[in-house]
Amino acid sequence: MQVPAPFEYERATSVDDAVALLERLGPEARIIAGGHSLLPMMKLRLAAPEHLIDINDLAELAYIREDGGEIRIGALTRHRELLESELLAGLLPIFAEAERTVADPVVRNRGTVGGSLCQADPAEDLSAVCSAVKAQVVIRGSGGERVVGMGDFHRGPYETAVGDAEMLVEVRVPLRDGAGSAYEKVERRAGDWAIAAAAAALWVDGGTIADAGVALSAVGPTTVHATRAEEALRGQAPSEELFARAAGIAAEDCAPTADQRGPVDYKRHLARELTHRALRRAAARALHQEV
Amino acid sequence: MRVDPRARGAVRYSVDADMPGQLHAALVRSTVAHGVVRGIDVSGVAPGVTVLLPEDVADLPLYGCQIADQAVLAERPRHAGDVVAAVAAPTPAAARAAARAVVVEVDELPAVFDALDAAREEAPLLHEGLSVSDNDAAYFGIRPVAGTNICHRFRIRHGDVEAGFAAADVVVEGTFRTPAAAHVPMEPHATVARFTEDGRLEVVTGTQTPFNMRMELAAMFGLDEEDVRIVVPPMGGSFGAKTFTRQEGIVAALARKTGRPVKLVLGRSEEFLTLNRHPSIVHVRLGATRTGDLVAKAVTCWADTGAYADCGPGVAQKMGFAAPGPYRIPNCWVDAHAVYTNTPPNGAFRGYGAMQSIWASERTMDLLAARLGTGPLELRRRNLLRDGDAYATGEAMHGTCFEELLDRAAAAVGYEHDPAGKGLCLVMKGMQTPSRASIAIEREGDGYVIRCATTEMGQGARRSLALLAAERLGCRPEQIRVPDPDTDRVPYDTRTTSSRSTFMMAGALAEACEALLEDGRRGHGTIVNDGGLDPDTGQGVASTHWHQAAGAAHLEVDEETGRVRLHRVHCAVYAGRVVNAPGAALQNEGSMTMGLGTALFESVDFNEGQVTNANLSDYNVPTARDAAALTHELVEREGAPIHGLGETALPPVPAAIGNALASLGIELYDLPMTPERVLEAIDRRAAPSPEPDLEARRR
Repeated sequence: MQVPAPFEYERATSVDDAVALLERLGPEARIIAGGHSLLPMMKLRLAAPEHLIDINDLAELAYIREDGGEIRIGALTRHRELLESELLAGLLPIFAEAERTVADPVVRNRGTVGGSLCQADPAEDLSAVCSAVKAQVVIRGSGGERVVGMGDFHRGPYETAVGDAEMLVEVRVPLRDGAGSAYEKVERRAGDWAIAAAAAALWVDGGTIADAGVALSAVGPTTVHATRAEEALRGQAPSEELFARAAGIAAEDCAPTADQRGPVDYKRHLARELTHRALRRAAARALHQEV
Repeated sequence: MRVDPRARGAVRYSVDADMPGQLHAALVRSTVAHGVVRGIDVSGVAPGVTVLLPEDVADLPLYGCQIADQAVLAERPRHAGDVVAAVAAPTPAAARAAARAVVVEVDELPAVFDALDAAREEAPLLHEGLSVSDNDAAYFGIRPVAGTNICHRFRIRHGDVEAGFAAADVVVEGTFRTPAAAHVPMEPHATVARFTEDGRLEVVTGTQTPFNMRMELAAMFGLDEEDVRIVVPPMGGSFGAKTFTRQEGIVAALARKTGRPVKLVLGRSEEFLTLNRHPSIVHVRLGATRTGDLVAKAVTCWADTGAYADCGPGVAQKMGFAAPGPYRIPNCWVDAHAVYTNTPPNGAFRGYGAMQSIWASERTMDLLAARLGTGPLELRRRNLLRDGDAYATGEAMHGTCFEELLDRAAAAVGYEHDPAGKGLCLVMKGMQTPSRASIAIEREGDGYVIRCATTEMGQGARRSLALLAAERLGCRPEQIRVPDPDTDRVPYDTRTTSSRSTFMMAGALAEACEALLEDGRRGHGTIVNDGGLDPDTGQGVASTHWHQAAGAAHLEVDEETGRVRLHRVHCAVYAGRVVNAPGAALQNEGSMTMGLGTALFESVDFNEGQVTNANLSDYNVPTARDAAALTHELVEREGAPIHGLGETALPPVPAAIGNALASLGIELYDLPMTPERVLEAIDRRAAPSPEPDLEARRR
């Protein structure tokens, strides 16, 4: 039987309390929310934190709301809430599309957006989604809050900008006119990690792509921010040829490795095909041409 | 309200079995695939821990259910994961820590990982001399090929195959591969054992083969069979993983050395090193007349049995006699081999070699149909076996139901309306022959108690026996108690395998119930099925009773990603007569779900003999959502005998899906049919069909 190493358990009563506990207990303390990444790692002894700080009581961190031209998502928001949110379905359909592919209902009922982002698994779905829609994350420590873009948030495999005595408290997605977004994923069995996945967002203004976001899962050491593909899209008129070219650039810029889920060539092929599809559908949504 | 004990957590599984004063064991495994142990350093092991070393078991003979080729501890490890030492400590955690502290020094030897490579004359030999086991699992003529890694070869010679091919207007051929697969029972292997004061060996363990194990452990420890007692609690799944002697010899040897009871529960990653499904390479050549009559078939099967034979000879034999398939073919030639490689042992796996053979043969039927320009449904209907036809083993067929099964499966996917994206598969699978089943039933209070060796592994054997006995005795099934099999108390039975138990035990039970009604207190019944095949000609009786099924799949393919979307996979399974309807339905569901994993997802992967995906994140078993497209039906016939259902619905799934892809011009030869393989096959579609791998046909 797989049993974690012994650990101490604390239950945070507020965000400030959680941050104070992190500071007091030091770098061997970890926040636990849904536990769907951390507990398996503890059972496999890949992680052996001395203290767990449970934030599941912090209802103030569970919300999805529109505020000041942004969508704000509390870190404790469960996958299921992202999947079922009508607000998100209208403004950022990419979230529900990605959530439909995340594991199974048991995981989605419990796992959180904050946990997914902080785990920073290169195959994780929401990291690519947040990158494509140009989200920022709010990180709180005892000295106050700082706001970090997704490009700075990912530091390496399983590594983020969140420091030892800090916690991620919110995800902010700017709302701009002419937006369309889509997520495309190929996995082996239902609910599995991606063989490859692509997230795309486009903001179209008067027949021109004002801005673009492209990010890929499972094809690099971290979530791949396809910035060269984004540059190629910016300022151009949306077209199949343009999307094909941008998808080709994204495929060139990813760095998949061979594993049980597939060989390198196949993953790179998927990166191209799925980026192309995601761009095509994002554009259709931005232009209200979705069938 | 009656709540199933499984849902209440009330079942005491093998992992829950304890003996007072027990120690806990952990295993020390080889990290190299082939080598010789130079030394074992135990200086880092904590005091109070017992280490079992090769010299402790030097007096124990080699064991193995069909070929005696395995030592209790390997002084010459033959696969990465082979057990070279073991420890016993007061707690499981202390045992694991102690096992990690044992340092093993191994001199590496050349290793071989592929069956065809291993069968070459120049390949490194895994076992220098092979002696056939005297266990009763070695009931057929085992034919090791001296000086090679081939531990058994089985042949069918039926008609004149050369003349048959000469008379054929059309001949197709292909080489098909299937990988190693894991059984993935929820409950891992678990054993607790002790030597009693009077020198008896008592073992409580999860096993489908209590009497084979009693025989093996008695021989191992130089005891009379009556001085070995095997008790089998319900298992949390097995699917063939818990057959014959696995970790039990090591646990018993630790108990002997410590003088205490010892318990061992394997970890999930160890399951992948303990027993897997035989990887196979099957070459098929099939000839027909222009009008679509099959005239000749030649099949060469290579079953990779891993480092130890286990029941690999039997699996290769079943692969061989399943190879002709449920068709009238006047001229058949089959060579089947079991071959050693430096990988974990491969053994019984739901279907026992049948799936591998059926995958190859049923895919070849569709290659032939395409070449003939006839429909796959028509080709099968035209050639399928009917009562009185001779099978390639010479035995006359009886109780056949293939046409009805095929029609039902085809109808379920609307095959005749439009065959595009649809595929069919017909399955005929043998049941253990020869074998013997005995059972006793006694009055107990206001009910009865059944004494029998049929093991419960989630298949519902106890429920079926209680239902059958209640019907005979005119009582409620709840009045029948079926305790854990205990070789001290139950009569002999061959084993709980090959979907034989409901059929065989039902026969023995009918006799036992009659005897009880006459006697008033107790009754005993025995049933025997006789038969067997000549290993050099394959002639004789392969199976006294054939399991029959047809499968159909309907799917679509994303041609840019290779992803397969299943609309429906349906199996029609011949039950003869259903005993326990909910249990029968669950057997079909479980078999099909496993078949789906085999078809699309599952492969134990290796790098130079090391398993690279020994966990349930990287080893993909299907999820509930994947299984949503699976449907099934049971076909009964008035007055027909019971037919076992434990495995029959597994083999149709891969070939039905493969043939559905073939209907779109996407020809797959290797399992699993992963998206990248499907995509490769799409890219090949324009090109002419690949040259068959003639290496596999080598004689």
